[in-house]
Amino acid sequence: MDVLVLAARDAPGASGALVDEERTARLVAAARRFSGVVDVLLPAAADDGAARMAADGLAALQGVRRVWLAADARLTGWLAEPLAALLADVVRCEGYARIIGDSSLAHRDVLARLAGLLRAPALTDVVDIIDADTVRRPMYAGDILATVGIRSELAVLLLRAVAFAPAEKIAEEAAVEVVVPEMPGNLPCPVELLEEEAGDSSGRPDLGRARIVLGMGRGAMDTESRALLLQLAEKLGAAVAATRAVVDEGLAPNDWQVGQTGKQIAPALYIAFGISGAHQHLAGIADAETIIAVNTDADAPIFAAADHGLAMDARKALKALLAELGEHVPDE
Amino acid sequence: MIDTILAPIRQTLDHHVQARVLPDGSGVDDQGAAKIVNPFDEIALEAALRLKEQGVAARVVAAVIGPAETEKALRTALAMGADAAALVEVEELPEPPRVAQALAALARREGAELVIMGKQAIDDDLGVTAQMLAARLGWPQAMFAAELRVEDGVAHVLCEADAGTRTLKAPLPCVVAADLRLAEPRFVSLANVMKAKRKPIERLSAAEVGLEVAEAHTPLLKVEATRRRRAGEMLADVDALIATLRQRGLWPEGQG
Repeated sequence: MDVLVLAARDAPGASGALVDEERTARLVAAARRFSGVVDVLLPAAADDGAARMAADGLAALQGVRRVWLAADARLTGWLAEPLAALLADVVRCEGYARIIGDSSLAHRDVLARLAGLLRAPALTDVVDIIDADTVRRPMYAGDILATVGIRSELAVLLLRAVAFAPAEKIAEEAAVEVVVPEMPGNLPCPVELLEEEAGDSSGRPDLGRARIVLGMGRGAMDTESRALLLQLAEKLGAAVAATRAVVDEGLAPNDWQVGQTGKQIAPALYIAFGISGAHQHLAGIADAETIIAVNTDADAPIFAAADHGLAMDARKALKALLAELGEHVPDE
Repeated sequence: MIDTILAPIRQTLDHHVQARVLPDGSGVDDQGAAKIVNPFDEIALEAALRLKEQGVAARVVAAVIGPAETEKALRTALAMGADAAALVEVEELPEPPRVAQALAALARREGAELVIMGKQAIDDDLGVTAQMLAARLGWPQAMFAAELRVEDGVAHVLCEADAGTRTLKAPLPCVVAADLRLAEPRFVSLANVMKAKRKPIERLSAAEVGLEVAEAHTPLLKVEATRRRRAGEMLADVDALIATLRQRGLWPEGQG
């Protein structure tokens, strides 16, 4: 069964790269389970040096047959209408049976529209590929793991990239061809992208890739705790996450939200500060290797979902940790 | 001013309730469980109602595709202020491609120039129907909307992105999918709940929106409860916490 993988988009402004190669490597490794050819499509605004470099990087991934470098100014910003139309063209011409992407917002936007154009089903948050016609995905905020059959010739699968090991890079000389497809003249471009705001990460690592993530919940929902948490994140090289309540309160931007309707993370360590442990939030941290919870309420459900717990006020704990690191913190 | 905004809604299990697996693992037991309007659809409906109140649209039509019991969700929509409600009665909720097909038929039938719906339902967590609907209609889409302004036939939408936000300008007709920050659903007064009980609901058969009985393309083969339990070992103090981090090599050394 032949597979087309859409390259994972790098967050704009983060590194200036066109593609998240590591995440794409995970998609490619997963795509190989369909035992057909695996091609990767990389959208780019122009066929320039940066695009060629990104395409060559993908061409060196083990198992890739071909990289389509779709270079066209109309694909700037990954707007769904032109990109989905182009993908539909490529899928129809080349006869791919499975189209694979990740569960990022960028891919959900484009690939679910593609599924609509192709009249094909789309499954998101796929965490396991059992065989070409059977996958597993969580539902109900991760309370349920569903085994889902695929009974259609064509299907779009959006994977949780962190659930799959990345494909290795092979020697450069073994790298496969990069093909620039002919672009259709009639790509629909009704939407104008006025601005793409990268958000303020202040040099913190990406939530999806950070080894350590510090989580901020209702019990740490004040500006002082927030400042302490950011200070600790800087010292530990950690990314920062928040629960929906904190985002609702305006104390964290939306892209910090981890949980059912936010991001799913899989760091080596997650420290939850003042988080009660609603299952909507737990849905986003289930894959963390180690979870440590700090919460004043010793009965909070977070402790049952954590490896270690500390029944303590989040702000006090943050201060004590920072003091231990030699950081200046205001006295109680 | 635009004439009609279509606000499709889904009824889901109350998110305060933990989903229970049927003994044979064939699905989720929702018999007798508390049901709510899918929170993202409620946000979408609120955004639609505000556009109407701003004088941008003449009316808001709420629509449900689902079993007869989902009428309750439409009553909530009417109580919130929807002008009309349409119920496409089916025994079981169809899969997203077919829901999109039915919603496309409804959008045309109602003469909708804007569809606002939730970015995902909190039961199946798929989050694909809005995009499929936009594709079906051949309309532009603005996904994960956090702010929405409609002016001179154009939707100006601030959209959530994987990092930061995007600002889109989409000409009507288009499909907008609501994210968390788009609007805070209003409180519904008891008086409005009572009034909503008397408002008419248009009932349509599946055939009227082009839905035929079809084999499932993505059948649910098995479901399992998953919650991974962890040790939950309690630590005495911050020193014990640091010792734990140190053990795992996750504490910066040579400081303090």
